[in-house]
Amino acid sequence: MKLTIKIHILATLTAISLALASCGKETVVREELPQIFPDYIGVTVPAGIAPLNFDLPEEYSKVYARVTDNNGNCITAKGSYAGFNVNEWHKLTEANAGGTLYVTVAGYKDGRWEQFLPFMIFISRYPLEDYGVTYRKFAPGYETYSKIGIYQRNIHNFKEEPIVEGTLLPGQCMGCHTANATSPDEFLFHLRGKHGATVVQKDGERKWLETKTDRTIGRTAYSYWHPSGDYITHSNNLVHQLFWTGNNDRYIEVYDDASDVIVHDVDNDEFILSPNLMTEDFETYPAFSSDGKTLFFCSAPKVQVPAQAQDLHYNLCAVSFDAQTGTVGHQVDTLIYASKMGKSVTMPRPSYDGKWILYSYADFGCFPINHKESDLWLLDLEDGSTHPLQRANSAYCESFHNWSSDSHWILFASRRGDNLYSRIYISEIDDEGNASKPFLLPQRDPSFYHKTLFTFNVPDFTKGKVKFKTSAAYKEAFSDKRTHLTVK
Amino acid sequence: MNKTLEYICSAIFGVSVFLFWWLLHPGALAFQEQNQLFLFTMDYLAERVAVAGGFADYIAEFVTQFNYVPVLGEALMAMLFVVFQRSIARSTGKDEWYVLSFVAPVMMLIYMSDFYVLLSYMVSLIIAVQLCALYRNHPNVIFASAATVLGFWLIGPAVFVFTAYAAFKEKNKYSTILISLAVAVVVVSKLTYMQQYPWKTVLCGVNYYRRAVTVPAMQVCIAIASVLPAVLSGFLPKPKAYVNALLGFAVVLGGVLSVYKTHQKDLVELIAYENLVRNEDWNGILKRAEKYQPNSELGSVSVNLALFMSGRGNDFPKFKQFGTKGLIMPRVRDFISNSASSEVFWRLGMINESLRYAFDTQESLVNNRKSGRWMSRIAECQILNGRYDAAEKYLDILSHSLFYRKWAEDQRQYLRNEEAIADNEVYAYLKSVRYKEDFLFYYPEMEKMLAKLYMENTNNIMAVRYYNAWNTLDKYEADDKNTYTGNAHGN
Repeated sequence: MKLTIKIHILATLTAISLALASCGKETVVREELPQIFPDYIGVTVPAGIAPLNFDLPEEYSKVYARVTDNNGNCITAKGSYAGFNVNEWHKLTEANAGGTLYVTVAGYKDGRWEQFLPFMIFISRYPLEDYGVTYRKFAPGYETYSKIGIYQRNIHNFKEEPIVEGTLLPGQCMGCHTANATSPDEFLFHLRGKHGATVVQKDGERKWLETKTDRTIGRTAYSYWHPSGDYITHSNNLVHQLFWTGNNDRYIEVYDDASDVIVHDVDNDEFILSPNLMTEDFETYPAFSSDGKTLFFCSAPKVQVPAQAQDLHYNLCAVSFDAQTGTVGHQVDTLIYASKMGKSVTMPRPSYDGKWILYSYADFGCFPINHKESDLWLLDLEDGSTHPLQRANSAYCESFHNWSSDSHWILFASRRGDNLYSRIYISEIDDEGNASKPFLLPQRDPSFYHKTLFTFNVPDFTKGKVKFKTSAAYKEAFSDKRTHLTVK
Repeated sequence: MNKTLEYICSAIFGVSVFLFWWLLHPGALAFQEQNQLFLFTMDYLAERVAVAGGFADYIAEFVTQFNYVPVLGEALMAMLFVVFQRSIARSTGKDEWYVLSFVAPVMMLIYMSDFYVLLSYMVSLIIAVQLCALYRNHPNVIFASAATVLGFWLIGPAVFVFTAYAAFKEKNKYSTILISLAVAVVVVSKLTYMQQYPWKTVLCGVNYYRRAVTVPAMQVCIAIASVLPAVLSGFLPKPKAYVNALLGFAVVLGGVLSVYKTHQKDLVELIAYENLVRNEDWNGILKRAEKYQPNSELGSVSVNLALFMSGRGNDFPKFKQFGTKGLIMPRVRDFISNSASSEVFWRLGMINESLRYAFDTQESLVNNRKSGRWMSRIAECQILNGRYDAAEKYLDILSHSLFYRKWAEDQRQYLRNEEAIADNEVYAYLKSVRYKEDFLFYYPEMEKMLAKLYMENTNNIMAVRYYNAWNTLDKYEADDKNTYTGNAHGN
């Protein structure tokens, strides 16, 4: 295999040198890997993903890239950045599922070409057949967003389209788009503001819900669908945020004055309350297991906030749930006792194959996106062992993660780009729970991420294209006609 | 009316418009510039023309950027108003009713003193009225149809001023076709590229009013007044000289009275302060405040900042005060209330708070624009915070503008260069006086935070000035004297 790679690299280098030399320019060979953006060197991608277009640093006015496989197939790109043809890219990656592509790059600078050492891109044996990803976009800041929206992006090409934007519902803040295990047919999002509501769409019909009741502490916040689609579990949070004054790489601290977890019977518009999920402590971030029999959630011993905000440490807990009767069990188990270690576990996301829980691990608090130290960890549900996803993590924050429908891919938001704007990364998870080096969601023009003033928030995979009728949405939102949930 | 007199009238109108902005609304146009960031990039153009009326908006924002130099902006605005008036006159094809061509521009002038009104509305109307003039000379139903469809995309629903005129002129089956076409173009736009806008916005314009779902009655009235002279010109007989004179007098009198009635002195002062704070013209603020005392917490923030920055803190009691909120405002979700407070935080060395207020002010622009002024401040804060990649992003964006380019290029020297930052007087000072210890900002404990700021660096004179002032005003608030007026006697 090694000999094959060497022969292959040699052949590629020769071909590129000849191609560039034919332009009549001197070519310099540099014994180093290119500094490309995004960093796609050594990443693992699914076949059929959008082309991994990339660029060299600014001083290179032109880029030439040649991608080859072990069978002599090759595609090239040349221009102000390396932008590959979508069809050619698909053909090449699909022909090499489980294999390797070799990329040789040259950059034009100071009147000559500089050629770098080739690098590899691994094509996973696991296909990623989901249609795309959904996410929320807004300017990363504090309490006000001029433009906010929920979007979907086809990950096999570069097409992005809005599901719902703030221009349609002016003055209302939009919460996270939450789908039932990547289903485009069952999803919800929260609308905040004067005309707030929880919008639940199931099988083409949507309801505008008022989720505040006199027996719950507030409106619903973080939600997760039961695999049957008959229930949704929500957290009720009295959310606050305060702002750090010093220069310590942190700006915002989000905390709850109080929080509980509840279950929502979707068809009957009722809440199911359980004393185990509504204690003095702070319960939040609920999620159902893939078989629907367990309800995971995070719980932190109560402290005085905001004074003791840095002492907020959430544990990962579990309680049984019976979907037939809609009842929550009495025995709460602590799966990860993070508070004992002075750490905080949040945002548990069970894989849909029932093997893992992916979660955020930070020093304290309930909102890891603002914690630079926040990393992704994996809990093995079979043996209870847990480990960090070392290849996926960085020195910056990773959070807002979730699974592809086949549970072999994860996506997450990371601020590793500039320590402020979150971008979506995708990583393969193998059968042993190891993550591959993640790749940044490709864009047609690689400079997109530097130019955009939007951060990508709460990404999730979606099996198909989400359909949300916009024509009546304004009227429905501003009519304030709401279905009021009651407590069972 | 003879041509010379027409030109004289138009010239007088232009001068009046200039004086209106220069004298009656100082800083108002600069404020408009502050609330947008025109970029010379294809992405910017593409983003504009992606919605109906985007082309007119692009032109309007191109013009508005020149308000960065207020006199230039005022002169350009005067010219645009004259163009608007002359376009209406041209659309009538007759000189006899020239005076009617001033009605809509005068209404527009009054309307635009509301800073939610965007220049794009007038640009759209100018184009629509020019289409009327073109159609009057070359009536052609195909042209009218094409102009309605293309015009809706380019200038938005203002094009229906033209469609209505053409339909009226046709007075036959083509009228119905044109009106049907207008309805169809709205429906098709809404169902295709305007899906993410409410019907009302599609029908009434995305970029005419900063809050797109609001359609002021004046907007509709001006549209009617713009096309009415062209419509009526075919019917009205040639007026006698005295009728013209009386009409002219009525327009002038109506204009003056409307200006007088709609003039909101307190708001005008706030906007004037805004521009003066931006330019650090502390004496300018104090001069205005001496003539007309601030009448709100927000105005007071600017005046107090000017007092402390100009070393006239002892004059604090001479100005009307509005409690501690008149020193530093709590966060308010709009694009003006936190602006002066962001400047206060910056000068106190409370960098993260200045950043937050600047960010929220920019993000409060309800028409989803960015601000050159606030983006610059955000970049400065990120440089001080050592978030150079984020700062670079903002500087790169600002480099595509006309008036912020030079500044942005200059700021690049501070990226990842601690030595250069240390050599910059402002940056070095702010780094030295900012909080050393990290804690969570809590507005109700501002007094303690100011004390801590001073205790951590006793060179921070602004901190002690604000601490003392806060103490003074807080004491009065605690004594239930809601307004500490010092020696000020109101207005």
